[in-house]
Amino acid sequence: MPPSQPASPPSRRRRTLRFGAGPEWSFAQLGVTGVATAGVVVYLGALHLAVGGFDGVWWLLALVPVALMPWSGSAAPLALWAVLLIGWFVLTPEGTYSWWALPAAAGAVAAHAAHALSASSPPAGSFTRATVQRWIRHCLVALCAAGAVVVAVAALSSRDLTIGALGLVVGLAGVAAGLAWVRTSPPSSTD
Amino acid sequence: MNGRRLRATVSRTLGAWETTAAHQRAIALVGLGAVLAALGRRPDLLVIVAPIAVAAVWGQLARPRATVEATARLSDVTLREGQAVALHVVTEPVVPDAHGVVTLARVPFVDRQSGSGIALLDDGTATLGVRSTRWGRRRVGTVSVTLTSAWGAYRVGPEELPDLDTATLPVPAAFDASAPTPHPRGIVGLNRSNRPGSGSEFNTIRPFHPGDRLRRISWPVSLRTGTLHVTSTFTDEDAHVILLVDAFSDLGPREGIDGRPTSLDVTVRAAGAMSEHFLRSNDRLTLRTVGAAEVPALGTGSGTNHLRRVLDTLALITPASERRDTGEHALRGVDPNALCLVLSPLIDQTMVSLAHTLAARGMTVVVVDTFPDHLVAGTGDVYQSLAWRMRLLSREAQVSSLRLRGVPVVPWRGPGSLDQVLRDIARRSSAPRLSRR
Repeated sequence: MPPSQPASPPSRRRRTLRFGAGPEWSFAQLGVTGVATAGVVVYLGALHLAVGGFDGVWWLLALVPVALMPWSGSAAPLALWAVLLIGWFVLTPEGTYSWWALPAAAGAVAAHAAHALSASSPPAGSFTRATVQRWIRHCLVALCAAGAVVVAVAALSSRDLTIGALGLVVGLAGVAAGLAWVRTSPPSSTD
Repeated sequence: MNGRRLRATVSRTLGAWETTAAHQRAIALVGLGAVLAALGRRPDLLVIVAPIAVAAVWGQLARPRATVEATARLSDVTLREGQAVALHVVTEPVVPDAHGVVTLARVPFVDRQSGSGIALLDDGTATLGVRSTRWGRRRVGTVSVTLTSAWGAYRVGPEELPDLDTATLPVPAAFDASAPTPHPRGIVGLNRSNRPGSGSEFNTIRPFHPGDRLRRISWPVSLRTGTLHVTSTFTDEDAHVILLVDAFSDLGPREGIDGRPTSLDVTVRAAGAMSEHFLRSNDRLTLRTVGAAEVPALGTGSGTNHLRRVLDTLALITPASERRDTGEHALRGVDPNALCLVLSPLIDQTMVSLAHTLAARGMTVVVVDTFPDHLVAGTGDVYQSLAWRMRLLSREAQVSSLRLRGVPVVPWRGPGSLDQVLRDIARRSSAPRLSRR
């Protein structure tokens, strides 16, 4: 019988928070939810400045990410952001362009990444520093695409941007083709 | 799970990668934004959805293609109560830019050292600490593994791995006995016998006989008497001890090593302590259990390897799993000269009957009372107190009947619990006795 006991593995207790009878939430998850909320706030703020003010009810949407915290891996965030996109479409005048779309894009991609990251871990789970840094890096790279579109829009702003019927058909067909590619083309296995 | 081989390593393929809600959201938002931008001539909407479009395309292009296999391994499957062990989880091949999470389900008597039982995979490996808090064979909680690819676009899992097993040996309570074990008969023990021979206990000084060892010569007596004399000793012998463990009752809340013991906790830990004591004294030991199913019969043995076997057998006990057990199989083939120690809280009548049976056979029987005092001390419920009073009165009558038959009943108190009773037995065996002619 070996008399000595091996040393126990290192244990690292994570601080968690429990709301009522619900599950435990790690501070990392709460932080990610905070980022998602901040993304919505930035988006609404940009929209507010772009249109010069709107009904205060819209600001209630900033609370939705907190309410959706347990369902970040569901279709609920999609519904939220669909409402926000349609809100931009409805509130801004047709045929106009606002530079406030750039911070709104930053808010959108930050909230999208926060929801995705939150869904990848259980409520009490956390994220390594490397994971967080990688996601921030990816968000910044993705945000560069918005910059590229802004540059393109600025270059074309002096021209007539009216889309003809043919252009509309071609554009919608492109969107449909892209969606079909994403839906039906699984990458071939390298095994 | 008794009798089954313990599983220290398990593996499972995690299955196919599937799209997540995040990926579908990105695609849908890009489609919606593009359509709205085209219909309403809003280039700012294109700007807004452009980063999400990058996320969607990136997530699609970075879709993992490999089939991942997860392996969970316990660094040690045989533990002592309260001992912690590392649970290693490895996924192969390592998926670049993937976020991996390992969760360990909560099960009774297994503490998860990371609190919520969640660990993050770092380069495909994660380590969780688990601590077993009660003796017995049990499963470590189910391990599940989840991997998420870049941008949270594709996910595999959560996939549950097959359960891992551990055998937690009881931590023997402190026990020591200074009194010799009665009826020594063997040749390798430390107990003084009544026969002269090679040993350490002084017997007498007698004249030298051929064959006596020269180092035994007593030179002072030899010089004084003029003839060679030697110091003779009693031979040291080993005794045979039978432990009869009552597995019928497990009274009290099961709180593990960190809380108050149940009656079976006390019984098992006392059995472990006595086994350790007697086997370290080179005595032979037999362990028999009554009232537990699927506990293999353990033969007589001695030494530290047998101690390990005894503790393994104790860990197999499932309380009251064989209520029809009359104990006859436990008494089959017992050595009539053995010291029989019955460890029981004396709640089930079967163990009292067995003690009577052994005493009637002329065996030396000692009943060790393992009833924990805290069961009746802190009872706040008046009906429960009354029930205990009635039960304890009945128990007192059973104890008295045993004592009337000459079977000593001693409460388990750890070190020295058996000293007085073993000395009494030794004195009784050397005293003159009446015999029928």
